[in-house]
Amino acid sequence: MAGGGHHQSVRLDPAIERWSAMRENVYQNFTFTRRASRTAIALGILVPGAIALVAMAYDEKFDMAGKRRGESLITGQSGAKPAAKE
Amino acid sequence: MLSALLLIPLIGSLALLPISEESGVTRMKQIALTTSMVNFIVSIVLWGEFDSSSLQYQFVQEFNTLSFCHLNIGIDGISLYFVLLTTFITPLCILSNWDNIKFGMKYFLIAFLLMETLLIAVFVVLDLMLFYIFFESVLIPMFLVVGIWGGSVTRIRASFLLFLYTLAGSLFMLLSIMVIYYNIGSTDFTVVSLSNMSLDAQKVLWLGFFLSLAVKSPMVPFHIWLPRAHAEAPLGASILLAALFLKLATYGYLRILITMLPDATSYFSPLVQTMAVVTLIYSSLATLRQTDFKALVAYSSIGHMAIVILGLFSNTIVGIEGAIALSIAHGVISPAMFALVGGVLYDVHHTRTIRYYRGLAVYMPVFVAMFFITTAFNMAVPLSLNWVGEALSLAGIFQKSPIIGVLGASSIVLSACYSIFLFNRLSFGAYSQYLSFTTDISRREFMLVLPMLLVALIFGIMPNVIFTDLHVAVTQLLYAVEPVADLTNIEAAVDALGGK
Repeated sequence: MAGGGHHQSVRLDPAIERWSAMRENVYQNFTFTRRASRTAIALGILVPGAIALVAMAYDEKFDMAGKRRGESLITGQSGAKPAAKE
Repeated sequence: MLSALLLIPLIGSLALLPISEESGVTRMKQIALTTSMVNFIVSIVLWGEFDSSSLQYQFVQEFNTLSFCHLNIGIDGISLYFVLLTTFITPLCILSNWDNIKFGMKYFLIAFLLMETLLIAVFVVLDLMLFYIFFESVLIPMFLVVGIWGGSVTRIRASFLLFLYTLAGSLFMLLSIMVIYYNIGSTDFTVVSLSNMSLDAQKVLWLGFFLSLAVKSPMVPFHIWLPRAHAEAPLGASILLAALFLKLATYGYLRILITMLPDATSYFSPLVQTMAVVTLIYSSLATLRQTDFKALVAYSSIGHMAIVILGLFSNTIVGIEGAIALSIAHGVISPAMFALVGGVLYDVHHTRTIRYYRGLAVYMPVFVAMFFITTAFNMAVPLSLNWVGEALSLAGIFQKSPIIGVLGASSIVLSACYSIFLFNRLSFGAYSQYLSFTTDISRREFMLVLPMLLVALIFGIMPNVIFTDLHVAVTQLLYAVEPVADLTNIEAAVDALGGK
C-alpha cells in the first residue's frame, strides 16, 4: 500500500489532538444556554416551519409543461390570450 | 439464477470455516475474493438476460414448500441495479481491507460474505415481512464488524448508535407490516399494492414505514448515527455502509411508500420535501465544519441522499429515474472517496484529522489525480453519473414544486464548497510538517478505486444503458400499466378483446 506497506506515524501535535478531541466531543458539554436555545429554536423550528409552509403552499401549484405565451403557470388556470389579429 | 446469487456467498463463507487463521490467511482472502467475483459475474449474466420491456418481475422463483414463510424472489428494473451494485461493491470491500485487518480475518470475511447475501435478499424478495427481516438482519454483522474491527475506542459507541438507531426506527415498520397482514391477509408485494386501502389507513401505515426509512436514509434529525459509524468503521464496512446500506432506504421508498401507499405519499409530499431540504442544507453546512475527513465524506453522503429523496418524491418519471441513477452513482463514488481518504491516507498515517494533512501532491501525485477525479464526480460535474442523477432529480422536484427545487439546487453550490475545500486542503500547499516522506498509492489501492471511477464515468456518458432497464419499472410506479392481451397467442388475444 502507499507508504511502502509500512505504517508511518504522523508527528502528533498535542495542541491539535486536544483541539480535535474537543471538536469531536463537544456534544458532551452541550447545554441549553440562551444563545443555544435561540439557535435551536431558529434552526430546529422556525426554518423547517418556514420551509414546510412553502412546501405545502406551492406543492403541485405550478404546471410548466407545454405552456404558450400568455398562459398562466398556475395549475388549473389557462388564461390564454386570443391570437393577435393581423 | 437469483438463488445462485444468494447461495454463492454463503457457500464461500462455509468454505472459509475450516481454514485456520495461523496458516491460511492468504488462502482465506483468495477464497472470499473469488467467491464475490463469481457472484459478480453471475449478476452480469443476469443483467444480460434481463428483458427491459417486460412488465412483470423476472427470474421469479417460488419456494412454496417452506412451511414457515412464503419465499418468492424476483427482480425488476429497479432491483436489478441495486443487486448489481451489491455484487460489484462486495469484492471491492474485501480488497479494501486486504492488508490492514490484523486479527480475526476469517470472521471478518465471513461477515462480509454474509452481508452480501442478506443485502441481495433485501432487493430480491417479493414479500414485506421478508423484506423487513433481511432489512434488519444486515445490522447484526455490521454491528459486529464496526464494534470489533473499528478504528478507535469510540467504535463501540458508533456501533451501538448504528444498531440501536436503525433498529428502533424499524420497529414502527414492523408494526405497519403487522397491521397490513392483519387487514389484508398477506404481505406479498403484488397483493398489497393491488389492495384498496383508505387514505386514513395509508397515512398511518406510511408514517410507520417512513420513520424507519428516514433513519436509514438518513434524514435530519435521525442522522446522528451515520457520521460516527462511517468514521469508526473499517474501510470495507465504510464502503458497504455508504454504497448499500443507504440504498436500502431508497429501495424501501420505491417499493413500499410509492408503490403500496401512493395516496399517503402524495399527501405527505410536503413533509418529505421539507425534511429533505432541511437535511440537505444542514448536512452540507455541517460538512464544511468537519475536522475528520471520514466524517466529512459521511456528512456529504447525507446531503446526496437528500437529493435522492427529493427526486423519489417528485412524482415524475424524470425525478425517480434521476434518483435511482444518483443512488447508483453515489454507491460507487462515495466508496471511492472512503477508499482514498480512509484507506490510502489512514492506512499510512493512522490519523483522520484533516489538520495534519497538506501538500500531498508533492509526494503522491497519482493519489491526488485520482482524488481530484473522485472529488469532481462527488460534486456532480458533467460526464459523471452523479451529474445525470442530480440534474434529473432536481428537474423532477422542480416540476412538482419549483421553490423546493431551487432550495434543493443549493446542494450544487454547497457540495462544491466542501468537496473543493477537502481536495485543496489535502493536496496543495507546502508538504505538511507532521508527515514523513511516503510513497504514492499502491497498485492494489489504484485498482480498488479505478473500477468505481470507470463505472461513474461510463454510465455518466451513456446513462441510457441504465435508463432503458428502468423505464418500464418506473412508469409502472406512477401509472397503472397492465397488459391488455397476450399477443403471443393471437386467437386468445382476439377472444380477450371481444372477437373484434
